[in-house]
Amino acid sequence: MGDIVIPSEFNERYSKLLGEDNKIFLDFCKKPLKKCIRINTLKVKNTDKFIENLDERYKLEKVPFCPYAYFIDHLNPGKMPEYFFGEIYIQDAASLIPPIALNLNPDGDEFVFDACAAPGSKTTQMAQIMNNKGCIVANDASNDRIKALFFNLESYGVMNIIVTGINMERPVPEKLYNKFTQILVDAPCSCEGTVRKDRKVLSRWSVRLLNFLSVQQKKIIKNAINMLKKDGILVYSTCTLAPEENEEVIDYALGNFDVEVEEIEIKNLKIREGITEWNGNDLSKDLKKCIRIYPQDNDTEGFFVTKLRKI
Amino acid sequence: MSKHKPNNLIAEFLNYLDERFGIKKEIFFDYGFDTDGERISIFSEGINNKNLDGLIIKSIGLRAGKYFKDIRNGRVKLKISTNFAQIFGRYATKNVLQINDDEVKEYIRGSDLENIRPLNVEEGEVIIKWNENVIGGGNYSQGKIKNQIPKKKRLTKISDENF
Repeated sequence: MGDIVIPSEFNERYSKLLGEDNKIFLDFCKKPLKKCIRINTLKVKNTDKFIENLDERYKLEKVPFCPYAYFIDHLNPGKMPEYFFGEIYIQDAASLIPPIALNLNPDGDEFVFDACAAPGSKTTQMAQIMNNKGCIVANDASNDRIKALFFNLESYGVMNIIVTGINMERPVPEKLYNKFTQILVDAPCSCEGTVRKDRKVLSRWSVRLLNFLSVQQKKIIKNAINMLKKDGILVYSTCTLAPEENEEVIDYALGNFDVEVEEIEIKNLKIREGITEWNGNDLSKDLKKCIRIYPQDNDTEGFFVTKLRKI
Repeated sequence: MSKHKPNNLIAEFLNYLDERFGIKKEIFFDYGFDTDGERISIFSEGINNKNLDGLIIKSIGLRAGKYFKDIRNGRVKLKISTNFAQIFGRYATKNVLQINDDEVKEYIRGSDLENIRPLNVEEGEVIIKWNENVIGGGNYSQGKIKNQIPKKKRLTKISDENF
């Protein structure tokens, strides 16, 4: 694999965020990502037997914070028969976190909105947590991306699903206000955290891009909060670590809407708290409850997750 | 099946599952069905009691099957989807065709299978199994199974060592 070029401005920002840990962060950015599979319990009924069978053929290592996910030594799990049968989903370990943070009820009758659903990794994970009960509205603004979403929803046996194509960057109809019990906003982002699997991601990187995306993300979270029922839970996540796309978006939500940040408790997950100051601007102290997942902490991608409750 | 689509497409679909595969209607007690006049979708019961006002729906649930016109005789026929077969095919009691390890490798890659001599299988649509796994549907005729796995789902580059 070729060397990765770290933009100097990127280096400076993370030096500011991480101090001495920046070196290990940049070293991890250069390390290839471990392959991770999620066992699709909508199709696999006897998980123990299934894992036993996989274990005979591949080296598996449990993902410490998710009981149904494993690191695997297979270079291309997309060629495994289990993939054909929709029994495994190839999903980075860190991206398993937002659906877990939603605390969905496996026996409930919840009405969930997945604002930026395509290609469907988190949607299919939520469906398996919900045991195909209740209802998930999987939304994406792009018709091209929705094709990939359809394919995955069908392959993984998701039946508690409705697909819509709402553009979340434009005002949504008032009929959709106060409707959903849980909302996932896995926002389109600069993808800094995916650098271990997409080495070109930093060639597209610039502070201007982060600021542009931050504006879009604020529009999306505003609409999502309007669509959330009182006392409902909204999880906001990105696969980037840029404060403009994370804490600044949540700070905007806290300052303009009736929401509060809740603690995220996930066993065996190493986290760092959100920041409360960036570029000389003080942000809400509650942002400490947001979680930052750095690649070096759990040997995953980089991720940011926040849980909000509408009050 | 007749030259025209039946009036009640969903009832006809359920009858077809029972008559062709022995899959009983009772299995679908916790599910709802929807149709656009051609495709049949199956969805979880939990969707029924939700307020969907204001949502412009592109699709609901999982595609279960579709009606199509057989170009050879102009008759309207039913076909179940691969993904539906993978979930509900385990309830089938007839017209199930078991294939072996060599055959599954070919079938997953998208090839038709030849020189198949199954017992107790009628010509027409069959559910194809490999051990306990349902692969999907296929069309059996005169010792040959025509592959019905959608092109996008086929694993054309799968190597034998993955099995």
